[in-house]
Amino acid sequence: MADRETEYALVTLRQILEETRHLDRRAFLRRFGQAAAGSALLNSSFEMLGGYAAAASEKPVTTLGWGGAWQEAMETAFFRPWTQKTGVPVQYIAPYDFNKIRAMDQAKQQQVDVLEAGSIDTPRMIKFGLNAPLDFSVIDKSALSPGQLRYGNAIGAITLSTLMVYNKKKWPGDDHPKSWADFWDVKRFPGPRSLQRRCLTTMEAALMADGVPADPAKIYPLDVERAFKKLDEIKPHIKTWWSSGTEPQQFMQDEEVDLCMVWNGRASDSINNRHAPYEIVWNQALYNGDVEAWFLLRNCPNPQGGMKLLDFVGRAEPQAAFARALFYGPTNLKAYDFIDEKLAKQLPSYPENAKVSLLVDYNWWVDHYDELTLKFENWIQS
Amino acid sequence: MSVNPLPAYPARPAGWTRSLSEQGRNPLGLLLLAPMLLWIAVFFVFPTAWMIWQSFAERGLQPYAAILTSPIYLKVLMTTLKICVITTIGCLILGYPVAYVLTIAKPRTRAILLILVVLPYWLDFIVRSYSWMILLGRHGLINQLIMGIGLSQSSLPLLYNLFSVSIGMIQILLPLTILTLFSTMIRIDRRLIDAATIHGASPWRAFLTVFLPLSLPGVYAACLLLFVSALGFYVTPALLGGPEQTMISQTIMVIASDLLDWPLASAAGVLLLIVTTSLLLVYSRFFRLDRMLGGMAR
Repeated sequence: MADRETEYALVTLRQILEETRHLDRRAFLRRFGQAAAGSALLNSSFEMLGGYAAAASEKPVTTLGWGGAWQEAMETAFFRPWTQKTGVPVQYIAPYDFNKIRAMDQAKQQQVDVLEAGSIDTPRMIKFGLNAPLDFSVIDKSALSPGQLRYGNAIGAITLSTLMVYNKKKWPGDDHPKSWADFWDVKRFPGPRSLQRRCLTTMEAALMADGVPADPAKIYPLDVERAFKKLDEIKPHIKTWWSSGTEPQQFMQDEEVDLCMVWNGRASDSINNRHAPYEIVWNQALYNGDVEAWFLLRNCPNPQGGMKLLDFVGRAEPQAAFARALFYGPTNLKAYDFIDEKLAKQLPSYPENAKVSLLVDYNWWVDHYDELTLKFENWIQS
Repeated sequence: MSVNPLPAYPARPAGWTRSLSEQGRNPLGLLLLAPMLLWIAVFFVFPTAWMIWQSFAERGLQPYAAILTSPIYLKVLMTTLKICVITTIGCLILGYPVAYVLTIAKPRTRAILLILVVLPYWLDFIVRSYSWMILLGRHGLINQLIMGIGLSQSSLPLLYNLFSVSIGMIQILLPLTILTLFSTMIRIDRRLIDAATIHGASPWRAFLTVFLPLSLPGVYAACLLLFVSALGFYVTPALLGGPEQTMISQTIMVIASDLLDWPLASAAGVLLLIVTTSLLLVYSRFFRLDRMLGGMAR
């Protein structure tokens, strides 16, 4: 991803050199500044030149993210429109690394202003106290849904579900897998399978397969022994355990497995855009609710700019734009006013989908994740 | 049989290699070494020292105890060593004949062959690993071929096992093998083989008694380079392997970036360093490191 960024920057540079062959220095820098606004790499090299153009007059807001398609969607939905509105550039650094945030905080050298944390990192952020309090005179609460403010000093970002897809070519009719119990039922639904190599969500799926209802009150605290016993049953039938989000997409597009655990956005991308012959099962999806959230980091270099950005990212319209790009749902329920019905049905926070999902309890996980990860890794390799 | 036109490797003047301490007495030598030493100090010695310190700083010996008492780390370490050995042997078996052909080929052919050898080296690890996924998959090219010609009724499990990890790693490390072997073989005086044949040895005999022993320093050097490079593999086993092929770098990655436990990750790194350093020490007792890396015997 970093390579792509470099390549993009080089192409842009070449263009500029081509176009500006006859310009004087001042005009050249102006043209260079316009291009720099769009690219973190060019932006930093531009700053070294001293900042003749308007783009550098405002201090940028720095954020850290996953890169790739995620970065493209983030730029399209949130950062570019906001920069257009305010004139403040956003500097995007990839890849996402929560460790980096924590290390910079410990070294009292926080260089990132705004972070969209996800999954276990949201409760961790609060547990370690890495975030700054939010100023709700800058951030307009009335534009947000109540769920978005669940974590106090954070703004709900997007929703994601970890769910099951099945091969529609193999089970075209009504008799297709519909639950985690069916995923475990290798006699009724034979074929290779893939699960995520992670205790979080895989253990919940095992418990639901064993008959525990999709109700947080019944699932948590997790019955660890029972979950591992159930996982023992499915282990010989798991062709591969994936670790990165692109792998299940590859499995779906190559029909490597017939049943696969996958993040919903990745599944929709493969099905809608890459002709993977699979169907999503929303029943018993592992729904992360409002846990993906935007934070302002404490001791960050540009708290004012970051605060203003946080006022924008929780709003309905940019969230709808993000859903259109990557199929991850909005936490701001007003966003559904801007999303057509066909897309809405593919999003985790769509009421029909959320109703049949299990809301993952990250507050339970934050205290048990480390221990269970080691246990899970030990189990999976033996 | 005519004498091979390839020029013999020129003998070095006496005293060409001098020990480091001798170099140290020469101010120019030290000056020439300084940038590299500085580079190593800043980017290797300091981070390693920091890692070792980090492993003890917070919780003393506890991370080491945790690693040595938990079955998972020893298992991963054994798997890692096993995969490294398989990769090294596989590379040597496939690379040796190619390197040999390179040494006897005509300069033009050799240039073309060398380009072909080096070309895949420029491709990214991830790209190469993903291409193996496409080749070895359930509906991949190889399975289609096998089922197409009727060798098997159902697709074979070629992916996510030791086979696919080894094949992926061997392919990635093969150019390194060939180049290392080639650089040794090209320096072998071909006239020695001719001498052996003139004295009645069969070509095979001449190869076994003259060429092979002379090429062994290259083999030892390749072994070392391959083994050490294979130890650090991360992407290939993650993409092409199953849980049974977990390598130590993957485990260290989980501890460091998923569990955020730096002391534990540092301790795992230190233990890996200890294991590899002891392997190297044992290795260098049997095979003279300076000799196989190009120095002349003293």
